Amino acid sequence: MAIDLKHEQAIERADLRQLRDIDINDVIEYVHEGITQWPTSLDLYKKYSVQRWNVYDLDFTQDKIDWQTKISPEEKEAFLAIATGFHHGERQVEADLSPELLASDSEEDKIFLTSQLEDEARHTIFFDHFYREVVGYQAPDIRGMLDASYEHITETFVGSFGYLAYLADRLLDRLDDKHLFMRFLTTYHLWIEGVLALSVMKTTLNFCRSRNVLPGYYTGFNATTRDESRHVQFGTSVMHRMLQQDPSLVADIHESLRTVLSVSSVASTPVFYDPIGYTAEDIKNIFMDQLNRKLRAVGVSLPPDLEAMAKNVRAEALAGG
Amino acid sequence: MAELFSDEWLQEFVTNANAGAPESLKKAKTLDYWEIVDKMGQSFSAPMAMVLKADEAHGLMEPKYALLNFEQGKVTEAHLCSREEASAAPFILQTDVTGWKRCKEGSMDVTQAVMYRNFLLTKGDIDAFFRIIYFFVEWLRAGIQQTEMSFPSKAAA
Repeated sequence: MAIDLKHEQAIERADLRQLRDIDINDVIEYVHEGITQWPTSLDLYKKYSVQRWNVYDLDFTQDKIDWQTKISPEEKEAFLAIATGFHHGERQVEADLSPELLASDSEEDKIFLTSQLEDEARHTIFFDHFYREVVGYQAPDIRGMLDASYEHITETFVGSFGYLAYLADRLLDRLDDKHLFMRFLTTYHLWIEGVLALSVMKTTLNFCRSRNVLPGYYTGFNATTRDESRHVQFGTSVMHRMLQQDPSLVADIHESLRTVLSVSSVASTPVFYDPIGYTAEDIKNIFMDQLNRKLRAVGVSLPPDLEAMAKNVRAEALAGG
Repeated sequence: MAELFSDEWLQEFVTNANAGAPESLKKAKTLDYWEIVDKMGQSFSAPMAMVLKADEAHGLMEPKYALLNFEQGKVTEAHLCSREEASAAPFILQTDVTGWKRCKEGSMDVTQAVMYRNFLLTKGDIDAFFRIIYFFVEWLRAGIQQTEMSFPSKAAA
């Protein structure tokens, strides 16, 4: 479902107030419009300069009222199971991005990555404010707030995000290792940002839009999704470029996917999406669509064993995106 | 109460970790999950060294080392060892006092300790490790929850 030029330009230039009225489904499509055009890292940095938003401009006053009066306990449970994955996911991608900046051998890529690092820090602050001001958790600092919301995180989260943390640590030790770098890119940009995040971003946002609740969350998270478009476009572009130079790196993409998929076929705790308008089957279909689109963009297909593993992924494993 | 990384602690910890999760915890998670945990554990047989990082704030001036021999997900032998012996193991899990302490107190989950690198695999194939990560998480969690332990402190040092 491509978006027309008028919509694309509206998303491209929208400020925070305008993002409140833009449909999340259009923003998700905007991610993919960009991928097929292979923007340069400096093109993406220019977009960042225009699209950067101020997290402190968000007003959660109405969100707090909605949370207390319009959202049922079942809806809250489903909503938090997904949103908390982002609360912690944003922290993880913020904390683990710097090895990529050090390992990158392009000055333009390094410049773009500084903007992404700032984006991820802002997203972490966004979720901190949401849990503090709307959900009502109390904590003295950012780490304390992360600890407070951790009760909503399940084991599947560590499969992808723990793996990323360990890859980041290894990459710091071996900055010239292109195979390790490709595994990091696959896990960070393709899997976590391009597949996990984009598969579930629309669930909480469509819930907000259809129920006309949580305007502050909708605005901030819609802006976050637009930021992710730059990150995913950058990551897939670098992967595509590296594969053109060295096709053997496809084995590293496959190995990383084999690792994350192997721990995504089981859920330690069921997550019920129905209260926010989705079934587990809906989520799986979105996941497969996101995975296939990113792989096509990079120019990679899956061998049969990975195809089978992808089909066995549980929807709950995606809540950690 | 035995101190973290003492002989007595190690034997008690390994016994409790091998025994697995208590029933109360098992009931809180899906049957499918526990089946996968078992399957993952059965696929792992290798020596693994555990290191406790030096931590001046806790009065621990030198790292401590232990070597654990896993056979199909159970530790068949464990002993405190030298740095050299630990370095030869194919897998090394580096840990810190803060991670153990917070997990024991319940203010941090084992999965969080992995993501925050309080428990970090510094040697060994990380793909192999993460493909059976649920086994390690539950093995560590069972040991931590069921073993009473004290921690190094500056006052004691």
